Amino acid sequence: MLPSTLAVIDDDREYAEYLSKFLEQRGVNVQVFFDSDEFLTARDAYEFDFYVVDLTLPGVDGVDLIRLIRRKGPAGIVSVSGRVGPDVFESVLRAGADMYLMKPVRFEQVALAIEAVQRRVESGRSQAAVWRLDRAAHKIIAPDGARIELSDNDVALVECFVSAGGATVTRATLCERLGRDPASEADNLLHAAIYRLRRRIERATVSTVPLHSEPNIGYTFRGTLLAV
Amino acid sequence: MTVPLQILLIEDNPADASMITGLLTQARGWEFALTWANDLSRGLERLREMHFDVLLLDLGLPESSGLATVKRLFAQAQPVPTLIVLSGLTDEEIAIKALQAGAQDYLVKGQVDSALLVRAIRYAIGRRQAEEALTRELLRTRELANEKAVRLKAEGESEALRRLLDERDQMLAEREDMLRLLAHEVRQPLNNASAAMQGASLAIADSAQQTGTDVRTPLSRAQHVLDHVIGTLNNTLAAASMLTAGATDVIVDTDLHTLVGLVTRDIAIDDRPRVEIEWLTGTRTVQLQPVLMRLALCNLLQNALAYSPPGTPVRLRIDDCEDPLAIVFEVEDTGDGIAPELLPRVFDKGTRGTHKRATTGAGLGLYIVRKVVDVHHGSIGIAPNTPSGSIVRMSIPQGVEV
Repeated sequence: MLPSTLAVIDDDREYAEYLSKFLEQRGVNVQVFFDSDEFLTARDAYEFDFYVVDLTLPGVDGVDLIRLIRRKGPAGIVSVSGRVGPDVFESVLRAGADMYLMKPVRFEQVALAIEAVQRRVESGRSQAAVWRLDRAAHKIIAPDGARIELSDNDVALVECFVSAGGATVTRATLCERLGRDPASEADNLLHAAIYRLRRRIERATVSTVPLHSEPNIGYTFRGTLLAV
Repeated sequence: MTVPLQILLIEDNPADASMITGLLTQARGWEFALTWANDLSRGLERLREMHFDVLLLDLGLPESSGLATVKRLFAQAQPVPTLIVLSGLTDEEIAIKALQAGAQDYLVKGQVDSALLVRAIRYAIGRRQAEEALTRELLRTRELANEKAVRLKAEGESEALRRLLDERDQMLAEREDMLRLLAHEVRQPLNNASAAMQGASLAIADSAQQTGTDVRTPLSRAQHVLDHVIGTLNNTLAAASMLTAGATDVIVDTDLHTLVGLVTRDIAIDDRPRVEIEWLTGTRTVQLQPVLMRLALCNLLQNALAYSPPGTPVRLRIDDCEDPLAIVFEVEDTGDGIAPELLPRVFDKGTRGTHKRATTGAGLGLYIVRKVVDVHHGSIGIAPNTPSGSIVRMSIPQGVEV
């Protein structure tokens, strides 16, 4: 599902025009900005549902622009850029983009990326997206009603996310709950446990699992999670 | 109170020894302690036992005489005190040789009085001290000279190194400029041309009834060529910029279906029907560097398509591995397989297939795949497919430090 309004900020006029036409044909209301100043001075700059941002822009650089947009809210941001360099991807993600596409890309690829990000944004926002931990049955219940059997490790992890209430749970806390020494850095048990938990859920439901890795910090369950 | 001068006398003749003792005792204004040994081995024993300032050595000892005595003295491990040799009138020549061998002075027995003996001893000690100081000074000078030589050499080397580094920096900067130029002035316009062509294709498709398929075929061929050029350019840029030494890459949660969707859309439209995706896993989120992985998977598919007959299927299989935890990508074709002689260097830069079907390419594709696998600490291998073709299996560890 594509967002209903979208801003394209890209100084490559031809590309931006074609992309805009492509997305308009698919029912998206697109507005094109050819530089960041033009975008930043627009009255409704932060009202869009979605942003497609180039990196090499006249005025404020794309990476900084992404940071500004992210600060204003959780709208989807996809960066599409031809910038070369070893740390482009990292800087874009750190600034808060949801996805980075290296140019050249076909318009259908941009649309695909937008859809994937939009799905994730929607799943986090939707009131109906409530996950439940059934303590008695050792099961997690997905928003679509799927009931997924959990191992003891899985339950220990999910309990951490229940008590965190949407906040990031540190590695140390999670390790302790798994009965592991958080000081042993080389221990990949936590990462493996999280990977297995997420995989177990993904295999059983089409619901997007809002479990996010925060590199070097821990993990966050960015959705409503209740224990019953 | 002055410390008495310790004197060792090695003299076999008791009369001579007594004469020397007498001369030493007669002298005024100094204190000494005399130790007498009547042969060389006893004398050496005394030397080992205590410190002496002066050694008076008779050259006419029964066990070894003349110069041999002096040589034996210096050959043993103990340091030799200031040495004055005592000789008879007849062996003055030997006495002179003794000086060359390390003695400070020589005295002819029977020609010495008390004053001369004491003066000789004092001068010998003074000379010895001066010599030692000179030796120390010489050594120090030599050390300093060595140090200076080492320092000059190091300075020269670091200067050369710095020049080399400067040159290298400049070359890197020029390379960066070239890459930027390539990315911005070449790739971008190509990208736009491709976009325009996509637009044209769509427009033509809308009015396909009037124009028929004869226009669309050359158009799709043009697009194919363009895609190929862009693909090569992408690989070159990636190899030069993203996969250089020291580049750290962030591994992030990545949606597998989106990744595979992007990859299949990197394939030219007319080749796309040949690509079959086989999902053997329900896993949707994996840890990857998606920009690099898109490039790697795309290269594997492009390779498989290029090296197998037109129209034959190429399969991308996605599977899990439990132990060790990993996501596995397999790309399978039914081409002619890889020549055995190419296998050992198939992932090297510049290796190209020998088959006539694929006539272009910089030989970068699989090299980049391998570099991407390295970034992920994964593994990759090629096995023959049955009845023909190859299977490339790429395994990317999961559930590890990200």
